[in-house]
Amino acid sequence: MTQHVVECQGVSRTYQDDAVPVHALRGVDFAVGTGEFVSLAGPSGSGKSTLLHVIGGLDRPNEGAISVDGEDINALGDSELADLRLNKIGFVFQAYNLIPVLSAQENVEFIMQLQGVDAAERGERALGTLDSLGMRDLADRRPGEMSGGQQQRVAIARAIVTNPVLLLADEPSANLDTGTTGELLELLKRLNKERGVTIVTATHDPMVMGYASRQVHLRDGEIVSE
Amino acid sequence: MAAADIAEAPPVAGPAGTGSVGIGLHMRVAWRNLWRNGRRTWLTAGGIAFSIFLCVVFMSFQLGSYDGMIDTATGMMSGHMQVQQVDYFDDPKVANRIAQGSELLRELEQSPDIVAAAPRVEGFALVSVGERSFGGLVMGVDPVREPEVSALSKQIVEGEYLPRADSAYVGKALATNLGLRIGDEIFVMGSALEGGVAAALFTVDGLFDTGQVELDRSIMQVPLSAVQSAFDLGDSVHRIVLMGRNANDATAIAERLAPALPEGVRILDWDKLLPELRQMIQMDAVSGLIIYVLLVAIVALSVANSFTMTVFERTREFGMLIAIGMRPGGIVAMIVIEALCMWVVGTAIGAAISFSLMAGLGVVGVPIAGLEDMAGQFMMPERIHPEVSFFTLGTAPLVLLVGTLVAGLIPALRVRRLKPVEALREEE
Repeated sequence: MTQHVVECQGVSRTYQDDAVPVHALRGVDFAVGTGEFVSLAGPSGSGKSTLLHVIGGLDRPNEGAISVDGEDINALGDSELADLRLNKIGFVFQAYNLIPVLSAQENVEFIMQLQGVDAAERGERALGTLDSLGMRDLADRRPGEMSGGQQQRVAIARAIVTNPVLLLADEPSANLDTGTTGELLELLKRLNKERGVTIVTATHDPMVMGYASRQVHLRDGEIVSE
Repeated sequence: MAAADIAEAPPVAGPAGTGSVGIGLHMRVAWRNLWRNGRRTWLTAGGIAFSIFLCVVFMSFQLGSYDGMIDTATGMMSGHMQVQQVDYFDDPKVANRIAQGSELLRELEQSPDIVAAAPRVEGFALVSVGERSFGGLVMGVDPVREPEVSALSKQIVEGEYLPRADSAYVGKALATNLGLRIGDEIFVMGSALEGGVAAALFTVDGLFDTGQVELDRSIMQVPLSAVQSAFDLGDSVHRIVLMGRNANDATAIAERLAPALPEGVRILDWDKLLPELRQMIQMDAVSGLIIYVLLVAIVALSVANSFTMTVFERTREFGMLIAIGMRPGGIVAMIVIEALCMWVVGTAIGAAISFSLMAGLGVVGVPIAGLEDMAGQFMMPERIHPEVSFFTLGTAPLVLLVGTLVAGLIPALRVRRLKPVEALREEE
């Protein structure tokens, strides 16, 4: 039996845009098995980012149930949800979102410090992870001193250094050129294959979709095909 | 992309994380964040430094002038303390006297807290020269002991201070009113202890001018024994004026001496003897306090503005921190530590300048040239020594520390209401 890292049942999310309700998700049923590389695809406004956010506990659905690694997200308070994100989910954002005043190594260490990992182990693991992503030589550089692709690799290092059960990537290639996107996708694929990291990306980039082992298409807040 | 094998990192040691970071990383992040907008930081820290400088300088001079005022006022006539018959302060009539004056004076002089003591007898009398008469206070003093408790003898402008048994030392304004000169005789007539007439003849040997007209036109000093004899007072005295080492110790010394005093006699410190001095100091302190509070409020608003900008500019960054699992409380703490760092920078500058300036001026003092008339009227010394103490140097930085932290905390609390999805959409 396939173990599910993510399970969504009847998930709906409605925003109020002024007085007009916007149905971002309409009763979505969706599951991700352990070790899968899933691409949520669809045009702008299709609900792919919203689905990624509710899975990651950054947003709460109006209806439906979501569980991540067996934990019912709806039952968690804000603090418990923060702990879930910290300990079980890795995030990679479109705009990298590194802490600009910290070096690459410090950025990777930061999340481990949130977890209470001691300094020696933090340094060792941060450098090891940066090394595995080909970034060790740039460990002392701050985000402003790196290219977009390099920053995104540091963001991936930060996301995987804690061994999350789930890696969520929201438009990870949006700010990258084709060459760098290719390198990034190879990296994600290797993470998925070699370390068995479960990956869910939200993208409208066909190149990203092509690397995923499973594509889920959304339109108007509903899954239209898989 | 040439990367090493992606080896799995070892599992997280210890319990699952709590979403807060150690103080070391907080400090490092806060300190570096402070310099992301160096100009703003320098302006805000400069405001903190300037207000610390102003507060320290004003407070040091204010409290330094109080010490000078107290020393000048107590040194002129009242002394640090006085021993009196219990009713004499409220009802200064001749009968309210201390009967065994000499004996009590000797006992008080034995106290290690007492540096100087001098007896006084007083009586209101008519002072006459020829056809002219004025009412005044005739004060019998010990010509040797009196200069140790009172600066009146130093205010001499003409003649000598009580060189003979029938000498009179007269205020210049009183002398002018009576048309007196050195060597003139004056006749004093009052009411003696038993209701008879107290009368005595004195020769003016000295004139004084304190700058306080009220004093100069109403007082004359003569030798103690002459007044005791004229008013039938025997060994009685009305006041024993005492000086300790410091006016600030007077209350404590008075409390120590009080139990040993005879029945019907009490000791008053300068605070009770000169209530108008205490009121003047309190009024001045309150007006100073209002200025300090306004100054701190202005700086706190400036800091609050600076951190409001910070929170708005870094909304997306805070959204990211919440997204990766940092709790809003941790972010608030990080911003408050930034405010603390801001205070450290401002305080270091403000304290360095004001402390070094006050340390120097505290030793040499600052003359109030050209303000002698005002100084005399307000019992101020001719040279103000700013007070250099933990209170004057430390109060402004500590109050501003609280103000800065509160000013940093208020905008930081906005982070607690931050929704990560909306925050991540914000433009940097």
